Amino acid sequence: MSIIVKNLTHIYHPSTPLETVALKDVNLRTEKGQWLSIVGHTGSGKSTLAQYLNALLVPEAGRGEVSVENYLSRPGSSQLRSIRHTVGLVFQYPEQQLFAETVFEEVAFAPRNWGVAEKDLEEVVKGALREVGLSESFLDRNPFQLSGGEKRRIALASVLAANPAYLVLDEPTAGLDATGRKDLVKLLLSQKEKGRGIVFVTHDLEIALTASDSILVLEGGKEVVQGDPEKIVQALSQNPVRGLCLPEVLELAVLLEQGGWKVPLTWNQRKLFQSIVKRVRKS
Amino acid sequence: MTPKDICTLQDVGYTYPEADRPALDGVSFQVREGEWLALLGSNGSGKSTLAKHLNALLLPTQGACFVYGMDTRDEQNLWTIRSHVAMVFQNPENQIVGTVVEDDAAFGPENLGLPSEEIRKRVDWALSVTGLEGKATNPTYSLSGGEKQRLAVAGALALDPPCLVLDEPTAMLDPQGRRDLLSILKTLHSQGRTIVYITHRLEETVFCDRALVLQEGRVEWSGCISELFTHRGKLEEWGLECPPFVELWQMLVRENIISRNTPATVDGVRQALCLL
Amino acid sequence: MKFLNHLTFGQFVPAPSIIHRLDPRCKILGTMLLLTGIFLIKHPMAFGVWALLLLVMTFFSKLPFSLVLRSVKPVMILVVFTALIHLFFTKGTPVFQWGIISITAEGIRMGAYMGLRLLFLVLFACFLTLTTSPMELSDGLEKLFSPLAPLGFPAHELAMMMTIALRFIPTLLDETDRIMKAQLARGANLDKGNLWQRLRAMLPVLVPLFVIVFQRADDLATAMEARCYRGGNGRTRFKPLCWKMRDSAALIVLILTIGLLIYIDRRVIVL
Repeated sequence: MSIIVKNLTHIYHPSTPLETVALKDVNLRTEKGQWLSIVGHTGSGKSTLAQYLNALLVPEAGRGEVSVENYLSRPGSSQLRSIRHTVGLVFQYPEQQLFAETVFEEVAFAPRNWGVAEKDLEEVVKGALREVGLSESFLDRNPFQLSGGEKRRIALASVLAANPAYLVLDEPTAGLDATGRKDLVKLLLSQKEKGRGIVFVTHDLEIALTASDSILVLEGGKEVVQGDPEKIVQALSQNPVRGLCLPEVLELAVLLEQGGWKVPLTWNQRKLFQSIVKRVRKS
Repeated sequence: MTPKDICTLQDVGYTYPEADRPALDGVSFQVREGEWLALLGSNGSGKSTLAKHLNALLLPTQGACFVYGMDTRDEQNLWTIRSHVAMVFQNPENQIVGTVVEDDAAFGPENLGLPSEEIRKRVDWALSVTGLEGKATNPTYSLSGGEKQRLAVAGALALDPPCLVLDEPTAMLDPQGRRDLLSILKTLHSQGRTIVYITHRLEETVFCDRALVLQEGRVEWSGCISELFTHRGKLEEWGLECPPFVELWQMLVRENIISRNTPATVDGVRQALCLL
Repeated sequence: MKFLNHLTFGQFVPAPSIIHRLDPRCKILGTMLLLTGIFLIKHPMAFGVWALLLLVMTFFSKLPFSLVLRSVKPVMILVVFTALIHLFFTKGTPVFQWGIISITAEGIRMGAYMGLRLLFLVLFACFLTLTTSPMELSDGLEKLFSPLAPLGFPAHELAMMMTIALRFIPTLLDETDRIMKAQLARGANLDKGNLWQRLRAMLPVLVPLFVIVFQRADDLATAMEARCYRGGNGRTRFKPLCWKMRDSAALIVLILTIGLLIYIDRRVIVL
């Protein structure tokens, strides 16, 4: 059971002067319980790709194939809603989609749409709030009066409440401080432990390298490299990708290695420190 | 010659209407001419509130704030203060007024009542400093987030202010956009402009001269940037996260492998290491 | 949605033509004159004159004529509707009968007449917006209404509101798109049900949009103040409007043409 994308191509405004190729022959595959990160610069096509994963966008004829748990994503298909139920998509700045008068109504929106009975909703909502670390006391509160961090958690809960098999998140750490980022990654890792598939779309390479099982790097709509974090680090250290900044620790490691130092290509500051100390002590 | 103080805050307090506790409480400090000052603090520490006092967008409910010798509470000084201290905000989208890039950059000088030729000169200069001269006649909606923020900086620069205040300007930008913005600020700083930079990201303060740490509306610490980086335990107390690279720098300094004066940048550390 | 940004209602299309270079005040006044003429002049031969004028203006504007014609597409329904109303509901000598539906000779004449009138109205209005940027239109209107400012008419404020509204149209379209997608991803069903159900279904899109718009307005006001905005007093313009000889010439030609047409029209009717 997986998400499979084959040779996907997406062209905005075809046959007009504004024609842009957003994606060209992109392939990917991910399973439940796996963390795939899609990284690239702004405009590399990653957000467009994310929208294909939950059938908000559907491949045009001859422009590739997307299948989610054996549901094929085709124009006009009746299976599209099933795909949207299976794959939850969280947009950037998700707190901007809040609309309800109470947290309960906000979080109940998705499960209600997917047919959960009214009598079961309360349990489902409470469960979703627990997953994002918020207590039941939030149920009656007005979402618009919550803090920024709380709003984002509510928005996340509202997608988790539909119990999707996969969670696709587009730049979920945007606007968060370091603590907020850490908490979010912890939350997502625990979701992964529970068996959800995580697809993390970002330009923050640091998180991608630390948390992912595999990474897909996009540049200008095309795949540059795909594989586990080690493979990506090797590839990026040899061929820098436009608009993708390496974490500074890794950048230093790469420069030192190019200068003849024997240091691991790591983004972990302690590892690099230890190997620098060893090297310095030796000489 | 000691640099003069261009902004002086004397025991400033500020409480938002309908708030139960003050956002600022007894804040006193000076901004020196030509310096790049970082205002650090976690969310809710009062740093944005403080920034808005520097150009009289907010007036202190207690104490006083003087900008270039003018009291911010005096209404007559308002527009002079704002043409001396220009501000750039967090959301690039919500600062742009014009439909075309150069028209937006011209907004400030138009408000100052400058003649058309002078406005032209300033717009051209501001757009070239921010790297947008090639897009002068483009519609503003076609710009990327990073470019929009650079346009906001250009719009502020067009006022020709000796002092620039930026409130978390990189919060909504991607890493490339952040680097581009910081490099523009470096140039402006080297040309003698005073920069007040509000952020919670420590890694963006490596080029600053001095830093101020705010917590719950009070100044907890002030001093040079290199001193700040060596305050290991304190940073967490203040709600600031030590970025991995700065942590590496700290460890290398503690082991005496590099000196405290080494800038906490990739190039700085690499050069220091290669000299060993 | 992005596509719409570039082709919304008679959107400005730049070109290096003399029409584009005319002062917007001249073009606004000229268009008002033309619209007045269309209303005042009754003789059907006038349509030939309007068509000729449009062709000449389009020629000088260096825009393809097909573009001008295409720009009225959104309003064609209204034009056709008006024509049909007059076609079927004008009383007179029946020419065609089919049950209760009857078409009279007068009906055919009125239908064609009213339809063509409306069509030319829209064509000239679209021509104005095709050849004048929104910024210029706003500037032009502000300048035209500025003599009324001392009497309390908020010419500058209205112009500034128009500029800001125009600047944010693409942004808001993008945002609406984004919010709709976010709610669709949560299982919202935006195209099922009757009108009332669909309106209710739009609530999760409209509420967040409103919240964003208000926040935006607040932020923008603060940013404008920080850039020394304090209303229209003492404000200069980066690209000031400059009335030239050609503007006077164009306007005079138009006034004379329309004046002449009105005169002929009156004489013909009298005769």
